[in-house]
Formats: sequence, C-alpha cells, structure tokens
Amino acid sequence: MRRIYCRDEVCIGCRLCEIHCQVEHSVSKDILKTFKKETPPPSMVRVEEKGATSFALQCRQCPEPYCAYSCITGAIWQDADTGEVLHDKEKCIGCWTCVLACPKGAVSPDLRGPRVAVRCDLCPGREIPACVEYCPNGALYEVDEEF
Amino acid sequence: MVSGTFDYVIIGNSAGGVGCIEGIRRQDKKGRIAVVSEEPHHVYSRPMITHLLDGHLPGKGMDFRSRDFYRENRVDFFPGFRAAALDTDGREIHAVPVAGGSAKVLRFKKLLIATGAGPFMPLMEGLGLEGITPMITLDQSLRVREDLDKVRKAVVLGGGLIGTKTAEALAGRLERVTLVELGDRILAPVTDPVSSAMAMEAFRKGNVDIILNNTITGVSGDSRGRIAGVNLKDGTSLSCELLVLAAGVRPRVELAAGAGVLIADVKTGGGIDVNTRMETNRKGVYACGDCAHAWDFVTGGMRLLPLWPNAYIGGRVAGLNMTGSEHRHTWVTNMNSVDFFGLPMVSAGFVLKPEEAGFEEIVREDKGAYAKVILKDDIIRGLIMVGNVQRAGLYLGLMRSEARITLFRDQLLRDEFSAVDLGPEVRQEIMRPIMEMES
Repeated sequence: MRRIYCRDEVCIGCRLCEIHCQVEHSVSKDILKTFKKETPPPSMVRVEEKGATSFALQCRQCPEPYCAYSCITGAIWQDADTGEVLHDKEKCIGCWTCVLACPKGAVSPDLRGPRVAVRCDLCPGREIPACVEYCPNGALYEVDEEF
Repeated sequence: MVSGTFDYVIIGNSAGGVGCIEGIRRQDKKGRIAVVSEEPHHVYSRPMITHLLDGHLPGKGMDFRSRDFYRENRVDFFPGFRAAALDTDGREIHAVPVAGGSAKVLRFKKLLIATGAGPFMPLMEGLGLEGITPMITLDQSLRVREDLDKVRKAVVLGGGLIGTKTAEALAGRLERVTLVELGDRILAPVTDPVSSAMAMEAFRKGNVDIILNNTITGVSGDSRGRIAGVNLKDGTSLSCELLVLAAGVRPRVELAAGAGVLIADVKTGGGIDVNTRMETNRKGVYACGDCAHAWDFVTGGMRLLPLWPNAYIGGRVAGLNMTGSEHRHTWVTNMNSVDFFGLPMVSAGFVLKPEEAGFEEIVREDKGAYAKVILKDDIIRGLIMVGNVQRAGLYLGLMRSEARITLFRDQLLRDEFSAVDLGPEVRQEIMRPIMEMES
C-alpha cells in the first residue's frame, strides 16, 4: 500500500504541495491555466501551520478506513485486494460523514462547487504523487507499506 | 426440506449485512455465505432514499455496492425472502417469499440478525388512506415519487433525521411543505437549541414551514380515499395530499425474540442485547444495526444507535468475529453529519451539557458558524459544529482517544484548529494510519 508521509521538521509551509495537487487535478494540468483561466480544484493535501511548525496532511490510507466504514452512499470504499481506499465522486452527496469519521481531519468538505468530499487519491496515473515530486525540501515522501 | 447449508447466514441486506460480508471475506475467502433480504432490491443506500424525491441523486444512483458485489464476494443472495422463523438450536431459518411461493430452509453455522428498524406508527384512525406513508424503504420513496403529480401540499410528522431530510427533498418539488414536531426543537437528538435554530432558519429559507410543540391527532380523506388534511393537537388543521410519518423508528426484534434471543429492556431501547463482540446470548448468533444495541463510548453503555456507520461497523465486527477473530465494536457514539439546504452540521457524543457536576462547555459563534465542545476533566465528551465542519473528525478522534486537551484548550475552537495545535506527541499518535480495529 502506497502511503505519503511528512517530515514536519523540514516542512517550511510553502504550500507548493497544495498548488501542485490543484494543478494535477485541474482540467488542463497546466499551472498557469489552472490558476489564471480555470477554477482551481480544491487541494487534496492541506498544510497545517502554526508559528514555525507546519506539516502537510493528506489521507493516510488507513488499513482500517473509518471514512469508508462510515460512508452512507458507498462512494468511499476499500479495495479488498490492494487495501487502497478509493473515492467515487459521482456517488458522493456531500453529507460529510467521512469528514466527521476521519480522526486525522484528512477529508475536507468542498462547499464551493458540487458538494463532494475531498481526499487524496494518490494521483492515479502518476508514478510519484505531485505533492511528493514538487516538495522542494523532501519533506513529503512516499513509502510502499504492507496493507 | 433444507434448501441450503451455509457457514454464514445474514438476515438483512443493508449496511450491517454488507459490513458482515466484508468482515467475513477479510478472513475467510471460502466459507459459504447467504443473505436473506425481505426487500427485492440490490443493496442500496437507505439514507439516500429521500434524494430520490427531488431528483438530486448522484450519477450512479442508489447502489451502495457495485452490481457485482454478491458475485465477487461469493454470496448466495435471496432477495424478496422474509426470515419468518429462527431456530437457534437447530441452526436454521425459514425464509418465506414475500410475493408468495414456497419457503426455503437455510441451515447455518453462524448467523447475523440485521433486521433493522421499522416505523413508529402513531395510534389514530384513517392511516389506511392513500397518500400516507413512512419513509424507510426504497419502495416507499419510489411510491411517493410516482405519486407527486397528485400532490401540492405535504405534511411531514416528526422533526428527526428522516422527517427533516424528507421535508428538504419535498420542498424542491411541492407548493407547500409543513413539518410538525412534537418537541420544542427539530433534530433534538443531534442538536442543541442554537444549532437547531440554525437548522430551522435553513428550512425557513428553503420554504419549509415548521410547527413545533404540536402533533397530528387525526386525518381526513377525500371521496376517493386519499388524504385531504390533518388535524393538529392545538385545534388547527392543514390540508395536504401527502402525509409522511417520520415519528421515530423501533428496532425490529420479533424474529429474534421468538427464537429466545435476549432482548434488552424497552426502557433502555428494546433492541437485541449483544456484547461488544456483537454476539447475542445464543452462541454464534450475532446482531447489529438498528435492531440491536451497541456500545456508546461516550456514555459508556449499551444503547440503540440507529446510524448507518454503526450498522456497517457493527456488521463488520460481527463478520470478523464469526470467522474466529476477536474484535470489539467500540468506535461509535451518537454521531451524525447532515447538510440541509447547503448548511452542514455535525454532532457527536453529548449535545447538551449533562446536569451532573464536572461538565463544562466552550462555545464559539460567528457569521453563520457555530461550534461547541462539552468537556469533562479536560476530555471532550460532546461536539457540535455548524457551518464550518472542516476537521470535525479531529475532535471526534480526540474524544475517542480520551486525550486531555489541557495544553491546547485555548486553541480548541480557533478557526484553524488542527493537528498542529496538539503538540508533537499527540500529533504523531493521531497522524499514524489506523492499522487495526479494536480487539
């Protein structure tokens, strides 16, 4: 199971992870178009910051995913073979039960457009998730752990 | 005549049944599973049935799991069969086709009773009129939807979750929707007076009339046998062509009770008595969901928690335990998240500060947002958030781990309160993936 972690001692809160997450999940995947011409999608990673402490937070891909166990529509579920926690936005109705269920606070409500929960999808199609690739300090890193 | 012998038989095809199947299959890929379902449908999302009424259904509809779900999990599915009798000693159930036909006898080694809840029906005459219905099953919702062209005005009895979601959905379709609630606020189990008033305001803007401190004492019909109006306790009346009865649900325990499965006292909820492993007094017979009690980690006792996540997780724990694992279902409390006309609101644990000494509350109110935590000994015991529900799960996580908030008490309700406020130790603990269910 792929998981993204953050070394908070080297996270400087630059929020480039958020920017590149938005670009990766935009229509054009082009940084200028995303922010100048399109409505940027919400970031699936969130930098939490207070004073000199900061770290980037995204879905932890819990082997026991209480977001999925709590989902009332079946939009979030766990692949029984790989363990990956998946989110089908077309089934999401924005009830925010997963927001309440995730003890990490790693699922966000998107109240702007279609009301869908926002959580990390590990950048399908990319070898390295965008937030990890563009983190200038190597604070974000990916590991492949046992399910 | 025995129709089949199974390692696992599940009565009920909703959240609890699915949780049980997925729990079993996590450990046991081979054992034979049968699901007996009174309803004729593929497993659907029950909390979504009101979304059918206003057409706000997500692209992929009501299915809670893919159409391949039973096949992929190698489940023998018996839709449209009602479990009519249970023999816990002989280890078999009699399943009768709802539409008529010959019964089946299914033998089991382990059994899950997930019979859910039925509507509480008020005692009054005339409830047989056309246009009067509870709102618990997909079929009930489909029938109302088919009927909506005959309806200009609707009355909903009961301001709980089913009643409010029904009223919200109908408001988009009808000329007038009136919700009648006996208590002094709507959504009482999941709100305090402030958050309830915020929900009321959302309903007012959404064109739903709400009548509090009142109830329906009688109904009247027209010449064709359809409902024409309701009489209220205060002597007034309302005309309507649709009446939705949402005055609460009761656990369906008849099958279990008839088989000698222990039922909890009505005063404590009257659900099937289980332990935290979800097993009843009959060995190998489990129960979960709206028909059974569950451990509330905030109150520290067994109670009814008719909530979708409670049913799923309870079923999952039961399924794991049926395969020989040792897991306990201790994750839930009275916890809800809903959204009315675009106003999100969540709650967990106590919503009102208990009378007894030692409880305190911290409140924050600003510009359409409201947040409250109830504390005892610096441990969070209750939560309400309205308007801004970002990071609500962090609070629930702190409640569940009984973390003392002493060091970050001043930050607790700040707008951007996050894991960064928790201090390195608590933060690291919280940031680890959840590797195991409680055992």
